Amino acid sequence: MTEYLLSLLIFLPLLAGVIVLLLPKNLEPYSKHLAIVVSTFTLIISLYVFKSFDPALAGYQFLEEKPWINLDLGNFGIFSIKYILGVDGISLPMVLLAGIVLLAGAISSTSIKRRPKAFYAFFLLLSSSIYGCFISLDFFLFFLFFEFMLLPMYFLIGIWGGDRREYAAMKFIIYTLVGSVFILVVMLAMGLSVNAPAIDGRTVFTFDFRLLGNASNYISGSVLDQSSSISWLRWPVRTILFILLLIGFGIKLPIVPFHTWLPDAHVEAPTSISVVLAGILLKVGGYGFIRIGMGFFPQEAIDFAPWIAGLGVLSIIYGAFNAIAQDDLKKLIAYSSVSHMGFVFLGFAAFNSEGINGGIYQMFSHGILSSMLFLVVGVIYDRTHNRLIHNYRGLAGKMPLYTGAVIIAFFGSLGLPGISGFIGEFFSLLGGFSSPYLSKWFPSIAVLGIILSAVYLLWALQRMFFGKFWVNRDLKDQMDDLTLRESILLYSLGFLAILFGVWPALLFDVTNNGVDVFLKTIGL
Amino acid sequence: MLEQLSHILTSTSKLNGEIALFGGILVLIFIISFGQRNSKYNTVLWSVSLLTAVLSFALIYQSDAIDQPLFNSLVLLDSLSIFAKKLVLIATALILIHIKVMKYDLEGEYYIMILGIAFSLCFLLMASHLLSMFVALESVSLCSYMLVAFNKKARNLEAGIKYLIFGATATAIMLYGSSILFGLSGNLSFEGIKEALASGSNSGLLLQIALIMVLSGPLFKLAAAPFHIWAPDVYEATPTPLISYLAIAPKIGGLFLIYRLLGIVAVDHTFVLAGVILLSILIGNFSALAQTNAKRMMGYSGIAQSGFILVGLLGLEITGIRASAFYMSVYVFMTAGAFLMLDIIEEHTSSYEFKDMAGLSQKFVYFGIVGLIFMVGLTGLPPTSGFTAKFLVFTNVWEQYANGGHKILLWVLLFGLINTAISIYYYFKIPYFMFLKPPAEKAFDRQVSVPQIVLLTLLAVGVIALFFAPQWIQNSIF
Amino acid sequence: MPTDQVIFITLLAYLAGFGVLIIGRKNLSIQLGNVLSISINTLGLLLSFWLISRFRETEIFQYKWVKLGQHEFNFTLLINKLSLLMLALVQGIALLVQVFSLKYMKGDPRYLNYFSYLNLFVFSMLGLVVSGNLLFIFFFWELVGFCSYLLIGFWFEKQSATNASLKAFIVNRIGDAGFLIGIGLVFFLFNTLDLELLSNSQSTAAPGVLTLTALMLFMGCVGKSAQFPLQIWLPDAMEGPTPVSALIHAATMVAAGIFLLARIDFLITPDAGLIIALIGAVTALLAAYSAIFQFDIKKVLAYSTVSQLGLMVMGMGVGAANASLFHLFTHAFFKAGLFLIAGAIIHYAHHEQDMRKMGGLLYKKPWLAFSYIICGAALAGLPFTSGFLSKDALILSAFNWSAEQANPMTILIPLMGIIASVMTAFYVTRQFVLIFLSSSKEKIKWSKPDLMEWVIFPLVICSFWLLHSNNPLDFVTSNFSTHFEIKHQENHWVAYSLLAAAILSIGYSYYRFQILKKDLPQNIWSNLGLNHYYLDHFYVKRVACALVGKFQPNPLDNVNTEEHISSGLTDLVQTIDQKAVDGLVNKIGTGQKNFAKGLTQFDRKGVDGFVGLLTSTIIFLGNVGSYIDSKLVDGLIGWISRLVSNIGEGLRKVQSGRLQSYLMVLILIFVALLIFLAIF
Repeated sequence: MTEYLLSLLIFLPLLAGVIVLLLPKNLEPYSKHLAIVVSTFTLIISLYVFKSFDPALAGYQFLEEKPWINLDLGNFGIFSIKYILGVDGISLPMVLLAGIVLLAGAISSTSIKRRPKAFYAFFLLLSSSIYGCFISLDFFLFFLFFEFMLLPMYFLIGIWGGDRREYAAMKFIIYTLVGSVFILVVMLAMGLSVNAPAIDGRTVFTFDFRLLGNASNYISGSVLDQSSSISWLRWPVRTILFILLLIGFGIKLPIVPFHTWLPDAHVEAPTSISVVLAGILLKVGGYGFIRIGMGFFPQEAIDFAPWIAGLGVLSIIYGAFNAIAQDDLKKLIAYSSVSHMGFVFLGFAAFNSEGINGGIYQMFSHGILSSMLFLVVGVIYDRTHNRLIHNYRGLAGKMPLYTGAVIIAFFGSLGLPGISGFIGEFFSLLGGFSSPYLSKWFPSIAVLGIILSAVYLLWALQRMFFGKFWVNRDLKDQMDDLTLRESILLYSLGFLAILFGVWPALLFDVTNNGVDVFLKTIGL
Repeated sequence: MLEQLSHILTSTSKLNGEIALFGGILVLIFIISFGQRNSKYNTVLWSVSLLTAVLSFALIYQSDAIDQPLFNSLVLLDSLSIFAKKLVLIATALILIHIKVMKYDLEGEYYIMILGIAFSLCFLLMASHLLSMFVALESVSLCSYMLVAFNKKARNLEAGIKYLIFGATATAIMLYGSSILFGLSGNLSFEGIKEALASGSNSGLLLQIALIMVLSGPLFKLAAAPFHIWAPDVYEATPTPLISYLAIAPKIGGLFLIYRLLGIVAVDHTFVLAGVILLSILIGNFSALAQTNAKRMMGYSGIAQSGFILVGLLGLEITGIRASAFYMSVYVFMTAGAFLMLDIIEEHTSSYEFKDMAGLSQKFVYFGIVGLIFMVGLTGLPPTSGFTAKFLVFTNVWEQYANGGHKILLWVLLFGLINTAISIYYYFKIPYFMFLKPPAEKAFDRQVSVPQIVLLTLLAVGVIALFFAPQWIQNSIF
Repeated sequence: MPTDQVIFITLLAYLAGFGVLIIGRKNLSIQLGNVLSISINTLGLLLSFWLISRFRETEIFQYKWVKLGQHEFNFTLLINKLSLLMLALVQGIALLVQVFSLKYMKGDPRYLNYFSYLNLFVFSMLGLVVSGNLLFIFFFWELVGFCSYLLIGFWFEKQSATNASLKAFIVNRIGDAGFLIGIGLVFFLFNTLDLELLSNSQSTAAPGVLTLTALMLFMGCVGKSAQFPLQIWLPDAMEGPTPVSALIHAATMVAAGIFLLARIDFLITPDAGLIIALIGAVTALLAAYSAIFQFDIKKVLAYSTVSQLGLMVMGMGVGAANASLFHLFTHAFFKAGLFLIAGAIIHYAHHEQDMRKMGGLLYKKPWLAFSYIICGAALAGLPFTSGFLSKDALILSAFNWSAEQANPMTILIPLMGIIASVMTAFYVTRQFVLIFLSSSKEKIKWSKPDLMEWVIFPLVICSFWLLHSNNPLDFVTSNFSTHFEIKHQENHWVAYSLLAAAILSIGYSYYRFQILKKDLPQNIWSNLGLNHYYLDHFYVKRVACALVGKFQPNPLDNVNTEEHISSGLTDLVQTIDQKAVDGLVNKIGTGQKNFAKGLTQFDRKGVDGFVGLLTSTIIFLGNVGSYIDSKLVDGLIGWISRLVSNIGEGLRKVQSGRLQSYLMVLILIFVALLIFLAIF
């Protein structure tokens, strides 16, 4: 049984999605129960995988390997595309995060009343592809899930979103598709440059991550050979491909200036989809970048380290400034995501243990905290259908439970120690400071981000929650405190944020070894 | 004399499939001439056509490739042509079923034209001689013109004439090119031209010109730029199943003919072909962006798709043509499916305008989802074989580039793929309106019938299945 | 029981206290909450006394926290004299403040919240003082700031309170950002954050870099200990409940910056020390001047706190760490005492804080007046108080340090400290006069002290010299000095002249405010002091507005909603984002569409138009042809056919036969030919 655990993560939601789709009309209300049960199951599986993962071992664990497509390319050789699943210290935190965020998303979706069947079908398909992205070890398979994520997301935003949902959905899909096209180019190039052991004396091209990461597997003299000097537009092709990856995953992450789809998508998406989008979808960008961009193009990545860090710092500062200017709470939080994900790039660019671990931790922690933040927005939106900060004042008096959750979420995201956000930011910065590849200016400027995040979050907190209670009289005055479901959801996420804030070894024990192996593979 | 005759006879015996088609056409003519016009008249015609297509497919399926020329090297029956003929007949059968499930009441002559196109295409695919090529190509064209114009409405007539003028022009240019080839080589058979050109010391430029001219015929069939102008009008005017057929079948012929022609004229065709590809993709994609009518959009999309299909021919490697052949096969399913979907939509909305599709999928959820698959496939997103197809043709481009090919290849790669991202904008207009827009005031009173759904599902399954097991087609091409 | 366990028990007790009280804030009875909170605090205090009593040598405990690559980030307990001193000090003052709050906060709707926050604060503060690792110092450092935020804004319905808490947190964050950079640089230079390892390691880095590192770490202190130019938050922080001001914003948290400097004093290079001392001295002077002009009873104390902290920082800068710590220690008692006195007065005066409206309290609350005299004297540095001892040590150390420096300008630093001390004496007297004395001569009522007054007494006792030293005039032999050695200082004349100047200023102050009853004049100099050099105004109105734009309260609403009336930097960035970045994307999008439209147009009008013309010409020609055909040719044919029809029936049939028939015949012939060929 355990050898198929990872497959279960993909196929359980997929199957459930198909079942939901085929449910007859009278059973439609049960789709939400099914989604929650399946999400719980996948969370349990990912927890089990997380628990039984042995951090001391190098390499991938829970490996599953099946031949899938063997394409005869005639005189070139054979394309070998395999179904390979596995986790290591880098992907495992993301799998766990996916479990947590997707369950939170499924539970918070219960407020969706319109066409629940279709909603949950798309939701489950999305879950399946998200898991797939993090556990596939074949570039082709990864790309399959990476692209497939777009479709359910498109409909989830486009059908259940806000007023400008169609615009946002279209923008989202075109933007991210452009990014994935860049990744496709790289995938093609890599697939055709890497040799697997030959079959019947014929060349076998592979997409196996384990082989792609090893420089000696590249066909000598091929365009992607480390020593290749083939250039295009006066740039070495390897560098160009790396830039393509940087942009491709940068769009997903998102990194300024490729971020503009994010505020629109977030503002228009329904609460639970924002949760999933910010909580886990953005992390695919970071994960892909470290696994593929840095893993397979180490020399280019190191050469570009100042650029990567620079983009990260730009995002931190730029996102924060934009967040300050927002009056829409959801938009504010969307921009704060841009700002916080900048730390991921900064940490990665450090190319040392602290930085990369910090970047991964930042992804994990942002997953939990941004889920919380979007749920926080959802609470208020459910009550009044308005998210403009200036319409509220002094909510703390009327909604103390809510305010408590907001305080955890806000302070967590502004990097208060004891909550997970601090760990990620701290170690990313520490990595930046101790990295030989980066100027000390990068982390020093990034530190400004923690001031700015305090400004926009606490300013919003002050404007909305403190002072005398008042709600714009045009809005319905139904400011009840959290319902049981909402409090359970928010406070369990809050609990996780604090747990991972005081006990980071829970995650670092797993990631540390993965990062060590990673650094060793790329020769550092 | 007798030797000649026996050669003809043995040659003929290799062409069982074509003979079956011919027989079917004859039967149809008999029925139309002498048959009783009762309630079963149309059904009988239809059944005979389908039966012919299926029978012919079965016969071709069993035939083996022989690499020696038949009919005095007029035709060549190799595995490529067998594969292509199978594809043509599958398309023919699919269109016939499409006609039936959509309950089209077509006159008998239509069936003759359809089988006629299939028949001529079979010969075109085997042609290994400028003459046989020309005759086959022309008969395809003639049947196509008639198919478009047969409806006798002013619009059809206009489209038909447009089609005809363009076709005639393209043919004329091709004919001129052929004569240059003949003049240079003193030979009409492909093999002969190839040898003569290889040994001769002809001006590269002249050959280049001859190649471009001679390609105009098949490019017209592919609706590739610059021979694409006819496509949108013809697409819009022609009844859906027929245009579905015209969007698929002649393309098959055009593609493989280009492959043959590139093979015989040994000049560097990269720039010519890359130009055609980039132009087709550009014009097709960008013009499609602005469309409001789904059929016109499909017309422009067909232009762009032709560009993508041709990508595999760059470098003329076996890998590439296999990729193109795979693309073509997938294209058959996707396009047949897309047109069927549009036809079903039209049945409910009486329109091909995007805006009239609003909210359709809310009533027909399953139909909406299945329909979505074709659009995803045409865009080229996983998990549909549209993705695999694009993946394979661009694999070819990279391989060509990596093996020291032109720098323009990398442009084709990047430009083509970015266009994929752009194309989602117009392909997704259909799901956009069907899923995202609220339903219009008027209710859809009719149901999607079971046969329609079954055919649509089959095609969709094909589009998806080929993603998971592309080797089904890939390994059967050669 | 090992020391670390005792520490953990203490920490966990406070954390549990926080948890129980915050969760049970609705259901727990107030009495139970009080008992819980106070017993935790008492327990903690007793444990800390126990630890002090058995203290032998410095102990370090390490707990594995995180290991990344080669680097371990451990939670380190560093238990030395300093930690234990702070442990006892913090809890001692916290206990008094909690007891004081029992009455002060009575009837508050969120009474238990208050106590839970206090517990969290004590937890964080204790964590800060026992951490032996910069990472964890920062960890608790921030938590302390968070508690301060919660407590300043405790009455969040009050707009000014939430403004103050926001300002406090953000200003602190600015300092913390520097602190964080400092930590990063330390890690870069030494590859560890552990204080023990740091103190033993040598860096080969350039002295400039080391100075920069030290100054960055000092930034944390600038924020938390309210040094120039970040001191503006502390006076505003007085919006919080007064006991909180006593605990956090006078005695403990604000001293954390001094504590930090003491912990890292081995990192402070001479250059950095000079700058630190300068900033401390400037702060002391500026704040003391401002304190003179305040009317709010708590603001005077707040500025005085800033000023005293400035003195301590100055001490740290000149290398007199122990003297600074001594002042920190004594200051904690008398300043907490003063704040609690102020709290009691405010409570008594029904939350009136303007000193101009007070007066004569000496007669109504003589115990408070008595306490104030002692604590105030300590603040002013009069002999026989603890303040005299510590201030003496500080000023002398600074003076002697400057005497040793090559640069004669350094004399300015102790000089500023001296002037600040003289001013201190002046404003203490002014405050005493304004609050307690008045023209009306009532009889002093020595009623029994109430709970709040009882609480103040221990602090008053601690403000005498007696607990600190046997000799009221010599800090070298003080108890404190036996543990934290304060070197004997020469030049005692400085101290005596300072004392003389202070007494003179007290006399002048008393004369001016009590005898002449002449308040301070309203002029630019007093306004400058009252508004603290408009520094706050500059930050809020200039810097913040430049950042986020100006907001104006909306007069139409009863409630204070604000309207954006001018735009700042963030609005500019937002505009860039919307217009330029996103605009570019949309432009590409629409450009694409326009291009597409143009392309289609060209396709349709240009190429297609030509074809269309051709087509319509042909159709026209066809029509012409068909006209000719139908009228002329057909007419001719009709004529012929009519002619032929006369010929016979059989022929007629063939003539009108359909196309298909002809085709049929053609094909039949062809088939026959084929069959013929096949046979032969």
